[in-house]
Amino acid sequence: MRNYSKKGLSLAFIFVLLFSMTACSGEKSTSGKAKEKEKVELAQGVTKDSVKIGTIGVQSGALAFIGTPYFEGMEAYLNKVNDDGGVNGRKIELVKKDDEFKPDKAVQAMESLVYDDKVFAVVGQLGTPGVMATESIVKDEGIPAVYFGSGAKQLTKSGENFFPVQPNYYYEGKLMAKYAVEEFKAKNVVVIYQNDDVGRDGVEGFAEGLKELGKSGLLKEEGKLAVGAADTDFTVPVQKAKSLNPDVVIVYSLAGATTGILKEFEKVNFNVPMITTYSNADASFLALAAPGAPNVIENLHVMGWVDAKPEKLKPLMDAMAKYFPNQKVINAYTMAGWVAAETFVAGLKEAGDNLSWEGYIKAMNGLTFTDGLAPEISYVKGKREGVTKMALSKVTKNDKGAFIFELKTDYTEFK
Amino acid sequence: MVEFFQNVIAGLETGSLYALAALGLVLIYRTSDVINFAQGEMAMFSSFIAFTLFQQTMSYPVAFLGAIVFAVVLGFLVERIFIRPASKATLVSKMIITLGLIMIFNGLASAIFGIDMHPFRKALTMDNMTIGEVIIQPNAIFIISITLVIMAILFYMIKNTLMGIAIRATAQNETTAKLMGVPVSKVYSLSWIIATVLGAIAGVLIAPTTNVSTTMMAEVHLKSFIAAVLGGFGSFVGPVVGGFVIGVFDNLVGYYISLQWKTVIVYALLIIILIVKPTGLFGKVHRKKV
Repeated sequence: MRNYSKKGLSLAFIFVLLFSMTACSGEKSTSGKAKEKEKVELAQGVTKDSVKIGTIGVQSGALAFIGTPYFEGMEAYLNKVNDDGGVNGRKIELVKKDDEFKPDKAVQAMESLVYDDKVFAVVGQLGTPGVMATESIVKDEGIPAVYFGSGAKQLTKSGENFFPVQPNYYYEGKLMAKYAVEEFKAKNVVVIYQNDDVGRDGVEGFAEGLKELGKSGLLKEEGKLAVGAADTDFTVPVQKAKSLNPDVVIVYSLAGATTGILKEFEKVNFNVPMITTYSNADASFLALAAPGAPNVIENLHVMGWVDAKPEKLKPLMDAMAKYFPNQKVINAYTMAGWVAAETFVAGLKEAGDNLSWEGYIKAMNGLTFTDGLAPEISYVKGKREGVTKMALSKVTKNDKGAFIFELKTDYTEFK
Repeated sequence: MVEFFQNVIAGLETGSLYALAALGLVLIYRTSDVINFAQGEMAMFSSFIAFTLFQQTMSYPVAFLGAIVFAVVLGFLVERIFIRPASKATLVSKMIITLGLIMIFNGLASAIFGIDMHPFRKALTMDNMTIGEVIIQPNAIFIISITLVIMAILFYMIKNTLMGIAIRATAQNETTAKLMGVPVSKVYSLSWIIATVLGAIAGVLIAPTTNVSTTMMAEVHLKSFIAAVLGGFGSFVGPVVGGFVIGVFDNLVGYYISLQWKTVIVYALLIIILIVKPTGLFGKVHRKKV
């Protein structure tokens, strides 16, 4: 009797369970249709009056000097857009995550943004290590990712939902080759490069650029000189470079190493035209490098992709004065952050109310944006090179004796 | 031949800074068995003091001496506040304390001085000299000379003064030294003070090359540590020789063999040396007699 009652109880339990499951699935099938419809129209992070976006980058620690002005530039632009009424009536809400320039923290931050904060897009993720570490998450989820604070060439092939803006170092290297050949009429070039992703992409691009121009002979194998980013003694690469008697030297390294290289040039009085990456196209670099190399720095040319004419910079300056009145540092990083926000918003305007991920990606695929600080950004026909028009500026002294960058060429592409 | 001398002189210049910092490491290790992993960060902090003083006064001697005075106070305080209370702790715990000090000094420096890089002037800014075709910076000669002078004073002090004997006695056997009336606590304090001053001098002298920043000592500290291991942690002469060897060897391998592979080649050779002589070039094997 006891067994029968146990069996009965079990059957009743299974029945109740099955019934409730069916009921649940039924509920899903009726109200789910409406929800699915809503999902098609509005992706995660989008409401009637807001769009939530996320960003990741270094905001504390030794490299916060990059992230601080960068995110201020981004916030200044978004604040301005919001104060002007937002985009299609939607205010943009920015969620910032600090990865301390560490890839593992970037992964946590990306997961948090996509799965917990449920942002609509990731905008302006800063730093190659973090960008590379989170690439697979962005790819798998298909979330739109606009602007990367990274020059890694891999991003040009990462996928349909990736929208790089900043030029990649490989492409910049190619363009440097064009300038070395056409502007400097170089016959013998030496490249001193930082032995990491930045420098290696740059030197590869430079060699490829020479090859495409039919001038491979300009750069010999012994003319590729590697330095470490944290090196304290640059005697060897500079001695080697000098012994090769080049007519142009490409310095493909970031501020710290470039400063050391320039000091060594100054020490041995090595006067030769130099071209360096856009990463050094900033007044803070000049303030750091010029005291140790006051003579040879005037041989330095930098690549640039941001049009920093006063009239172009005015909206940025005004917004910074309004939203960050105590910030005295407005530099290339501030401009980069501004461009990141500018590019995302351009896509948002283009997408209109079709704010599904597919809708935004489709809109971005038709975008050619020329109204911002960057000369031109186009994703038409699947282009993912980011900014391709760059110009060359030369370091020179102004009337007050201060070192400045003077634009020397038009913004051109490698063709 | 010009390139050879150019590389050797530059190697001696950077090598002397590795030697100074390495000597500080060894001094603390010999007296208290602790490896001070925060030596580089403490030197960085002192360099920021020099930079700040230079900005205020525009006087290099004031900045230099100010950094040394600060280092004296810093070394004393670190020993009294962090190390001495942990005198009964295990060696591992003490080393972890010095690892913690890295975070403290780095965080403090970021908070107080900011996170930007700053250029810093050389000790001597006069024109370069040319001997044959070899270009020599007066500042390089100054760095090598000041390092040699400091080391000579230190060696003299350790060998010939009462305090030096106390340091050597404490290094050999703390308990016996105590029984013989050596003020061991004072020896510890003095070691930390001297080591911090040596680090500060290395920091101020390398600052014109690396710029003043919270990360300025990373490479120097690592190389000084390797210099100490190469020369032998058990010797005071070894780290000095180790520093010079690394500085010069780095450049010669980079120039004559391969710039790209120099780090791999140099440190592979160092590992081979340590396999052959595990106590370092000048280290001695102490055998306990039963």
